[in-house]
Amino acid sequence: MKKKIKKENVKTPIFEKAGSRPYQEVIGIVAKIQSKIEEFNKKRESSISPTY
Amino acid sequence: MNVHYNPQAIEKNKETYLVFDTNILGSYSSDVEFFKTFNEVFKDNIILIDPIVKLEFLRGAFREQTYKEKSKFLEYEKFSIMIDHQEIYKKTYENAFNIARIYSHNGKSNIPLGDILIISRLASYKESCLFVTLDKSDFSTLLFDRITVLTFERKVKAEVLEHVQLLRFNQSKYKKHLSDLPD
Repeated sequence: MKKKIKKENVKTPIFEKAGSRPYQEVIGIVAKIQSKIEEFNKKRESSISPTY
Repeated sequence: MNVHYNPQAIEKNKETYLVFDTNILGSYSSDVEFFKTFNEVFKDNIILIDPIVKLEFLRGAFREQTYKEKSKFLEYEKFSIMIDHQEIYKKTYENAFNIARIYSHNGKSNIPLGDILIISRLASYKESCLFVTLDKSDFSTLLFDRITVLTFERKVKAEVLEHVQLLRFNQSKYKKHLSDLPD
């Protein structure tokens, strides 16, 4: 027989775990994003350098 | 990376949830030194990601590869997502109207919509959480208490000092400002 759950006892969750990627893996992703941003900034700087 | 802070303030809030603003999430996801230093200081805290912050964070990644990298980053085990459901929507939108009016009444009618929604969600969370941001203009002591400030010495071309503030939403201030709104 199914147990009836009283409505007032049901707690609605307000957050959930985002994932299980560990520190070492995530720091690798951060390094990748950082290098891409640096590369992008370098390209942008060279493209806006004044040409005479 | 050097960071200047009050260790007692961090210790006192060591098991508190931290809600990141988009500017903090941006630095945390794209600067290895900032990521490491922040994790050393807040080693016992869980980080909460607001859905609006998630949207603001991912919208800049129009390239498929960048979008994938950023999405993978958000699966970090230290993160939890503040989820949406009917009950929370209702409360958040109810708060949003009130908060927008309070800001407007206090001379800040131009506060971005995203920031209003972030504050509204913080207002509806009964759990103790601190908001972490660089933005001192839209997130001020009008509705928050400033718990502490940390200064990070970051190297972005030249050396810059970034002042990261930890804020707690103050329900009493919220009620007081709401009752102060003119008829």
